Amino acid sequence: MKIIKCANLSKAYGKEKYLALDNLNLEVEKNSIFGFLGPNGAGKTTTLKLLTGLMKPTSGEIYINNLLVSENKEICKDIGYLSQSPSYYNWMNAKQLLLFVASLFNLSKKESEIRVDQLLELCGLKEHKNRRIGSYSGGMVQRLGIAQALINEPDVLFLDEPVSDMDPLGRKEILDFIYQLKDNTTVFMSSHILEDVERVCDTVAIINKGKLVKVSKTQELKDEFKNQGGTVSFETINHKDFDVLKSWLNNSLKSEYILKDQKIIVNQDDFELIRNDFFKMIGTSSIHLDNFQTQKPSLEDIFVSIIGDDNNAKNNN
Amino acid sequence: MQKTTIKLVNKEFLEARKNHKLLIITITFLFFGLMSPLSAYFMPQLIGLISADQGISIQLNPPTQIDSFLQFYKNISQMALIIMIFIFMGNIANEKESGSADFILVKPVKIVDFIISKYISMYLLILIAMVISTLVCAIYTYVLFDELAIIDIIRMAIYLYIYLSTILSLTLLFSSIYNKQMIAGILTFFIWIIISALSSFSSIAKYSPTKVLNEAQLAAAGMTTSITSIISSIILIILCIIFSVYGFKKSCDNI
Repeated sequence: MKIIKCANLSKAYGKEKYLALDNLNLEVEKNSIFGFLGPNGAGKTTTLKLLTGLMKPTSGEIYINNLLVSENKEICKDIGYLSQSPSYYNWMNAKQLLLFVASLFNLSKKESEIRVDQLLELCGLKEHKNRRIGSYSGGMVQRLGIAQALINEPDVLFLDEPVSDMDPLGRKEILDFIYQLKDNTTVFMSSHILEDVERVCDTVAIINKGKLVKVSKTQELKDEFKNQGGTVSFETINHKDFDVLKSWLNNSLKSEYILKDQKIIVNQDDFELIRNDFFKMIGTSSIHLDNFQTQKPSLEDIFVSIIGDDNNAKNNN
Repeated sequence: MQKTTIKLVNKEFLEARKNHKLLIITITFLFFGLMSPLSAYFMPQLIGLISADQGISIQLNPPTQIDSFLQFYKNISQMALIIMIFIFMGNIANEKESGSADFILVKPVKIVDFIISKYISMYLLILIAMVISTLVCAIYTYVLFDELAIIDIIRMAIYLYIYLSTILSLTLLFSSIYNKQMIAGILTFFIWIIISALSSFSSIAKYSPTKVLNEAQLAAAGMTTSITSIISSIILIILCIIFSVYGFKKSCDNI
């Protein structure tokens, strides 16, 4: 079941009508974690502001739970949102802030107390609940941001760069936490940290210069690009063997290879063209290979490849 | 009033308390409530002393409670108002700039509730400060001058309060349209000057907020006053609120 549907969504800013988002069509499956990737200025935050109803689109429509976002303030009861640089009331403490948010959702006093305690525990802020938010670190503010976004047990949780300010340990904890949410919640998460998206997201959309470039299941995307950007490396400790190998590759390969100490790294696509000859040569020669390794492309390689191709296509046009 | 608006007003009051805004506003007004009768009482003596030093003889009428009221009126409508503009100019702009407005508006809170809560809390804060300072001014006036026209000082305070609310509504209007508090402050001062200048044109003077100030002066002197300028000021306040909501929506769409 699709819980978020965007149709022909565009957003233009200012008198110059700068197009920050151009005809976005997107559907998000219920109870999935949807990664929204793009370089800085690609239109990720604009998309999130449109999806949460904080901005009105110049054209197009957004449906969440089959409700048209621009016409239904009620939709706020079904969503949670963590902005890119969250700012809360620094004079409040975490408990006060969460109780205040709970009151905006008309939760009873008893319900609020229970929910707030649960969330403080979940986000690891229980010990700091009476400290002023102004004294929190960036990571703690981010955790509090997730807690406040979850207070209404939303159907859809929108997270704009949720772990960008965190240290590796904090990032892991929060990503694990986000992963657990998908049993009851759909998570729409924007990020430019590809490793994080790869770790938790079922589906990935890539946006560049306001246009959607790719949407795919994370694994399918990696399968599609498994050769593109992948590498093959050979290592031989013997200098003589190393020189013979280099010389053979020079004559056989159409493209260049990378040298790192005693290691030769070749693009996987280029290697596929000479694979049979290579193994025939190894079989017949006395070269001793100490290490032979194929490296699949990471989501980062795929991202760089897609964005690079898209930028080249735009520049050529 | 909407339940949500009440919750937001409560939050504003808690914030004003925690950020010492309530304390600063109250102390500012209290200061003028205390100082106005004192300066009205001692000013003729002070002028007499200074002029005697320079060998000039100036005969001044002995001060009355009206002088005390007028001193209070001048201080509140000028000095206190300038301080209040500085205090409230970031009220909405800062929340927009920091992103805390987004945090609120993605909850079941309408923009209209958010804006109205800002206006209501500002009017209430000023009202509290105004009541306290008027009370202090009245007590001091009675102590120093041995007389007190209680109705006149109340009438004057009402006109003053309407005037402050009108000018500060302009501050919140600009604060909701622009993201920078300084722009809101500068524009308020600019419009304040224009409004004051327009009051010299007799055809529109009776509708100008500055006319409310004239009425406050008349009330202080125990003379009869009209409510035309109060009505036009209230209309201006309502227009400020409406345009604030509209301007806020527009600015959010163009961030």
